Amino acid sequence: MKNIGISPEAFIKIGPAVITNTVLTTWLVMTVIAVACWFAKRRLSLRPSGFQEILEAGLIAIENTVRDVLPDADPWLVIPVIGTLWILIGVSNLAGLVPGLNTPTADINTTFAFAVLSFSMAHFFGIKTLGFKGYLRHYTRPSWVLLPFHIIAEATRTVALAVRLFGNMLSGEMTAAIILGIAGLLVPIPFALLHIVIGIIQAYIFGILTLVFIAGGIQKEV
Amino acid sequence: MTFNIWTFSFQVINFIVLLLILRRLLYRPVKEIIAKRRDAAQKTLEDAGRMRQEALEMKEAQKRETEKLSEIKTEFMEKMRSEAEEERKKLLLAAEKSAQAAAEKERALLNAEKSRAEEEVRKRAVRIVTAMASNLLSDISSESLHKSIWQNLFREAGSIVSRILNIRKPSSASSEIALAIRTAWPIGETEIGRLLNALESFAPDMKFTAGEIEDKALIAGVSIKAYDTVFDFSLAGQLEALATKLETDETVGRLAGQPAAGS
Repeated sequence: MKNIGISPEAFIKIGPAVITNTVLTTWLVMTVIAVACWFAKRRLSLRPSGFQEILEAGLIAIENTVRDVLPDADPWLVIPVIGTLWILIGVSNLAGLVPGLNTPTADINTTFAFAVLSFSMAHFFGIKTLGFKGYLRHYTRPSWVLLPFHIIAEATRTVALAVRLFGNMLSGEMTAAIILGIAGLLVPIPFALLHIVIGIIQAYIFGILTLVFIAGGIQKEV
Repeated sequence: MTFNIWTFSFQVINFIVLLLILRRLLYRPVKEIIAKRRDAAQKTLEDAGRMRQEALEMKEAQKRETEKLSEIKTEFMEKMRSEAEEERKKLLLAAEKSAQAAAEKERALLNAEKSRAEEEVRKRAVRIVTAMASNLLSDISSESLHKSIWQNLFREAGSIVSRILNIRKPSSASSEIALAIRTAWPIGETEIGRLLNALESFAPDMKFTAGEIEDKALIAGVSIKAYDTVFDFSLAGQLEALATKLETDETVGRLAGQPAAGS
């Protein structure tokens, strides 16, 4: 039976640095993604193959989504960030389906790291677009009274982002593990399929929310 | 659930590293290839638009050329038609002239043939009449008629001598002139001598001699030959002269060629 724990297991210790199984799985996921992209890059041509068509369709879908949310901005400014979030979170969400691997996003440290990155990117693009003062000014709109609420909203939405992904992934894994323990080998399959759907949806939600935060950060005052 | 700063940090670093990797291996190449394809598609569209424009221009040019050719064709056809009309008129005129000439020629040939036929008819008629007259005269001729003609000959003696002297060669040294007398009835030495005397009376310097040959074809009368000239005083000769005159006389010829009224 798969060992399901809320805290990551320390795998290697190099001095003070602790490398957990979550980090190792993430590296594996990164390697798989990088190798796949390397192979895809080698086979890119003006006459696309089936795989290239899927790849281009995915990127065009990301581009269209970004255009819908940020109609006035250059979509390729945020596409790499959003795309990387979607790909990394999506593949990480599905990594737990492979026997022997755990789901990196079922670790609160991972989801919190991604949420902090989302929070940072919203501020980064906001400052880049509006300037430091201009960006800070929007916290006082429409009134100074709302400044604390803006700050609380920033913190809570980041925490909510992290906890939503963490909770969904962890619950999916735990449900599958419990049903496997109770009912047997094949019964969790529908739950595993549901886990796939949930993983993709959660990755999409995480990316779309990050995109909305970025859009809110770079939105000019009317 | 404990917060692990190392895991947190590694995941942040992992994300940044993956972002850089994907930027290099995925976003940039795919973006470039999409841009290239869009450029190629745009270029193809522009080329297609340009080709379409060129095709339209070519079509317009072709249309103008066709219209021009049509005008030239119409003009040429009109010209050809007028030329053909002129040629037709010329040919018709020439054919008409040619037909007229041929008709004239045929008419002339016909007239000539008609004249020849009339002449032939006239000659035949004259010969038939002559032959009939000759037969008739042969039946009714007699020695008395012959003698009567012979007697009339003496009245022509002066004329005969004059004409003989005219046809006599000036270089001829002889004064003797031989005469050959053909006669329908025998004349006799006496009558011949009388004739010679009558002749010599008009040319005293000349000596006439004569030989007599009987020829019943003369019907009645005589013919005298001196040198190459024959002085015919016979009925046959008169008939021949009459026939010759009838053959050459146009009036008689025309009358002979037309059927007699009521015959």
